[in-house]
Amino acid sequence: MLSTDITEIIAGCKRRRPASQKELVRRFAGSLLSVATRYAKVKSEAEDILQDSFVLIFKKFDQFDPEKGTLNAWMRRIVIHTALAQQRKFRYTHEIAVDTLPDTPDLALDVYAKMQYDDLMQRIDALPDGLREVFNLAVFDDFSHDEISVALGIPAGTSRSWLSRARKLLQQQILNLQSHELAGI
Amino acid sequence: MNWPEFENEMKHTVNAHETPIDSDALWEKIREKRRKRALIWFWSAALAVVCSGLLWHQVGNRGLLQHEQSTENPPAHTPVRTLEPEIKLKENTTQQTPAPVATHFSPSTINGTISTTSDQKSRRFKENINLESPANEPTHLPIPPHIQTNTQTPLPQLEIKEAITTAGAPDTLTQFAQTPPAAPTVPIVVKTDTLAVFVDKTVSCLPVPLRLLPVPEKTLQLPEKQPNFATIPDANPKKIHSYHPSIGFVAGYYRWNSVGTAIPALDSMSRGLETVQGTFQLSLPISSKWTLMTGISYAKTSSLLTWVRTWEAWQPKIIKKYYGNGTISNDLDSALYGIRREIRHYNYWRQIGIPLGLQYRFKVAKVYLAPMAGLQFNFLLPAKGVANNAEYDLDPAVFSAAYQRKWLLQAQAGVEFGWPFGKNWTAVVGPHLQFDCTPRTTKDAQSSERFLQYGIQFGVRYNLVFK
Repeated sequence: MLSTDITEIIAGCKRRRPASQKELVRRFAGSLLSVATRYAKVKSEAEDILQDSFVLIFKKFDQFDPEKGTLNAWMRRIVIHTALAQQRKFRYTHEIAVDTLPDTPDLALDVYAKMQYDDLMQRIDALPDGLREVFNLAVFDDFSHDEISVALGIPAGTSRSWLSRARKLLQQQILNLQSHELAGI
Repeated sequence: MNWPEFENEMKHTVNAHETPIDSDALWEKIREKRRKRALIWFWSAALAVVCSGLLWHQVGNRGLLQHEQSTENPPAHTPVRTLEPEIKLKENTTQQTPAPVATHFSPSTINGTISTTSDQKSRRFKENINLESPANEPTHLPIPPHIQTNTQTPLPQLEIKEAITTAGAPDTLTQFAQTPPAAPTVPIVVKTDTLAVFVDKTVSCLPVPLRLLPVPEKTLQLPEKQPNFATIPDANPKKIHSYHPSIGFVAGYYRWNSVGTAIPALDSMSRGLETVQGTFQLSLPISSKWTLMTGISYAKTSSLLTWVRTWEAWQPKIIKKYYGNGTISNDLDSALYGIRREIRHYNYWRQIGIPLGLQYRFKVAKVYLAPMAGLQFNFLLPAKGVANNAEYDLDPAVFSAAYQRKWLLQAQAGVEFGWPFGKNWTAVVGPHLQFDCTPRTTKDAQSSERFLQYGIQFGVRYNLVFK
């Protein structure tokens, strides 16, 4: 089944064949877990989101239309919405003070080069919940502010504001990293 | 590298990343989760089915109880109904035991016998012993002639136990018991005392000779369905709401507290508003509280047009003047008088209305509160009346025919006293209060304003019992 074409997997999943569903899980679990991890606090929560997402994916597979987009994008959306649904109980009520943040800085290339995926995610995870989710949705998942507004139940203006604050916080962290690099720490 | 470029790099890195995961373990967890959810759905569905069954059973019992109530207090001239034998034996059983009438004596024949009389308590007996076995093919057994001949004979009030102990009649039930039905049956040991107590409770004045009620002291093979002893009426049976649709005619006299403002000079008409209304009602209960109401009503509403008209008038006045020479002069003068006159006039409107609404009825004893929502279709009949004008004078007013559809949002309250008569008739009377809180949608008079009616209504109602 390793060489199975994606169209065959899709056809099999539409017929609810377990073999095709298992192959789908095998192929896409890693990338979808990455998506879930970005929205979850801990790994176990991400895995739980992923399981729920796959249950939903198999249930709603009839609704997938290849002409409207790729299977990966469709499943990522489901994972994101499942994660947001789980996060919805924890509404963000706190505001972040970012008055003293600097404007857009120039970043040294080597800073980015030295940043691994885990370093990057560590810094993104350090963002407050609301800002992190808006940043994830807007930057990595190409959600518009209107879509974010609907997904998170916040006004579009708030979404813009939170994205701006998330960026500034992230920039500050990277500038700190850059200054540490320059200082040879 | 500026920030947008940095974000793009981040995006590529993040989206290209795949977190390592054991897909087989994940697949098993997904399957387990789906299985659990399927189980949850299954048990939820099973629970729903069980609850529905219990509800259905409850409703069925209510129907039985209600039927018993109606047979407990039947009207005096209720016609005798032909009662079906309550125990139905399998056909093969009866074929095996054809023969003399006496050998066919069974509880079903008891019921058949009792059905031939109009005695109230015997009917009750029929209703209570319900040993029906619907799965079996019904076989109507003949009624023993010696019972039939005695049905018209008034019998003394005897205790069943005594009758049983002194019974010298043929042990026909025993014979019945010796030829059990071939169908799957449940053996029920009917003890003499048990049956006697049961019969004591329900039939203390059987119109049949009590010596014809032998009770076997041995195992009696009865059809699988056991007697429904729950149908024995209590001393104080629980009151059950009627679910039968009913039709009725209700007439009422109501007074209003306000009326619409579209009719000219209604400021002067806000007193003396009265309505006499007759309504044919059709009530379709859809539950114990909810009722679909419709019908057709004819209402004649009158309003008292009254005001005081005042005006001034000059009246000639002759003033006599006496002069010294004895001359008397009659001078003509005029005097101003104020004239005050109260004008009273009743205007009438007639209206045919067809309400269609859903009513929820709270009822405690005789008092009810019934909010109702729906639609009302009104046909305003032409009318002539008078109206005052700015000059405080009477003008003829013509009210043309009109059709009007309005929302119905009402709250009714009152006390309803009912007296059943006949088979399904009930006479009702009681004070009635009706508050119309429909939002104003048109400028038509009468029915477009919020109003409060209060009065007394009376009428008759007929319960439609469909078998």
